[in-house]
Amino acid sequence: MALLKLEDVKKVYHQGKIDVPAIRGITLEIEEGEFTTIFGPSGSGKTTLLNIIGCLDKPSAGEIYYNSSKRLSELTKNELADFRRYNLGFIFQGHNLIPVLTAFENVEFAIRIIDKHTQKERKQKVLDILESVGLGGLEDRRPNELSGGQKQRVAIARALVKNPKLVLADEPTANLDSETSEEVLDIMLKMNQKLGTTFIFSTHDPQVMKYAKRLIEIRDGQVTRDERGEDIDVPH
Amino acid sequence: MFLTKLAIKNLFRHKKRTIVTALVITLGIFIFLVSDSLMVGLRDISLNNHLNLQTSHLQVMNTNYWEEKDEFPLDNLINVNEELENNLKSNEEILKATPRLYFTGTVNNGQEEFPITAVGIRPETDNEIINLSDYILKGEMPKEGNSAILGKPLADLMGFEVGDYITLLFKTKEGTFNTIDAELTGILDTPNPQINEYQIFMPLSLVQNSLQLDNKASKYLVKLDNREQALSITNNLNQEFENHEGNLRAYNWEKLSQEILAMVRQGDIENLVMLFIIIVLAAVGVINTIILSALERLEEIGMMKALGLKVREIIYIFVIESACIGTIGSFFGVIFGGVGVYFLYNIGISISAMTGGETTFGIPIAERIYGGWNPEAFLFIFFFGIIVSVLASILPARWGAKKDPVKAIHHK
Repeated sequence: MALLKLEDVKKVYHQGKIDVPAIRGITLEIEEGEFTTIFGPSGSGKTTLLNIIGCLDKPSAGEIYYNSSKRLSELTKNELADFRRYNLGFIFQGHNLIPVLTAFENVEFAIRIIDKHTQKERKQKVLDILESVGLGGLEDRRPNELSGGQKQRVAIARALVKNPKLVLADEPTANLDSETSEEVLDIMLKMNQKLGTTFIFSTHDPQVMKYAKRLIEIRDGQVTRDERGEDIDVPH
Repeated sequence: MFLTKLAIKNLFRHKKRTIVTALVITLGIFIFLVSDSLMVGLRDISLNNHLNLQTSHLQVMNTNYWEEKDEFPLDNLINVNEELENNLKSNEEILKATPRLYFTGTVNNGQEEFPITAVGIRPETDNEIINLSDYILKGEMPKEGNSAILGKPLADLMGFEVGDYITLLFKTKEGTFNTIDAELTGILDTPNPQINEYQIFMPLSLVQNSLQLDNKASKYLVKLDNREQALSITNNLNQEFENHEGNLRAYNWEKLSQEILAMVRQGDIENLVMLFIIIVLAAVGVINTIILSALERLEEIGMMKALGLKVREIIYIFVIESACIGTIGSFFGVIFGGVGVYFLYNIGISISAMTGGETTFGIPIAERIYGGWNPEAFLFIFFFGIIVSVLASILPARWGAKKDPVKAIHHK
């Protein structure tokens, strides 16, 4: 069953009197548990598409269905916030951790706002996820006491701690060296396999694309390639 | 709770900014409390001086005299008689009553003259109400016959010493000039500069004879148990006076202290101005801080919205931060204000140091102004500081929280 279904989604930005189309009618389905990479050159519409899928931005036209039934365009701003709170995880290019909170607290933030765990459960979940991303023992460190790779792992842990159905990652390795990028991608893949979480991430790095189980290419706001499989031909 | 904890931790991101904003609120509150204390002190001392040394609790006079009382006319006077005094004293709450006769003239030392107000008093009964004898600096109260007392500043101005003879020049009721030569038996130093500088006290009989106003007085000064009784007793007396169809009327101290009470009202307005200054100081400080914080944290705001935080939850974080800054600022404002008021209350401020001894601005206070304690003001301003901080933060917090999450995340 498709976790996510996009039907002829379009996005046009208005710059003064000029209309700039960013997405020109994309239709696709994302299955539950997929590890999908959206790639394409800068300005092709990758980030815009992720923002629309993540309900951070609204499409100018078209429809998005979640779990085949929920029409996201019908939700109010508060309902969209709740939808993100309970169903989505985000990993940003610039980790966006809160500097005054420790690694533990940054991760805890994502489940504190859900209110369905006891303090004990919450603590265990946070410690487990930090352990899973290789940050066991570093939970009391603040972001300024962590390396770039460690910060991104905290961001991954924050995205995953509430067991979301879908994690969206916008160029999650853009600010990392190749070795750290591979570590981060290994973790994401491991979590995809372990928890069954659906991952969609954008990149233009061929090294990152190698990890993908599905590769979607976007050019000028349109899908120009969509392949699934273990041995996808990765562009160089 | 987690958002509250986050808000408190945010205070430590830019400690200097937090401290400066809190200090601005502290300063505003300090200024308000000191100003309020001075106003309370000024009001209390002024009213007490006015009551104890000039008006007493109520006065009885002719209604027509009341209209022109500030010019001390020699018309529409009342008769000094035992019947009226007994009538007044028959009222249980009335402790004492004494007649006074006021007139204007000039005092002369043989070389120069100075305008004064002369007051004819019956020393034995007057002293039971006004207690001028407590303020005799040199000599003694005037005795029957040609004797007088006056304030030290006037004595210094005219070069008078105890034992000197002073000459008063004045017009009688008929408009003819007359003089009184009286021996200066004492020099006064009261806390009321208006008495010290402009008034001369002489025996009532001397004044009556010199003005050819036998058995007449401008008014009766009446002393009660306490000033709170003044209004009801005034009403009772006026009822009696109306029944006798005379022109006598009683006037309570509030009627007689309009200028002082106007000053009190002026003080209230000054407090409002101070409050406005505090609102502006606190609001500008808090708005500035919240806008800066929101701008610095745009990416975080975007991330929080992506995580599912609602606009009101993000506003809550900023509002709690402001409430904490307001609480810190208000707390220290109240502490420093308390120290300031303590010094004002116990040590006071020298008026001559403030004015160079040139003027008293018409305030019936000599030497020092002392502050008053007003616990309600402390309580009020503490919460006021917090409330203003919270209210001032809502709009900038809303501005930050309503930022488009996409633009917020990618704003760099």
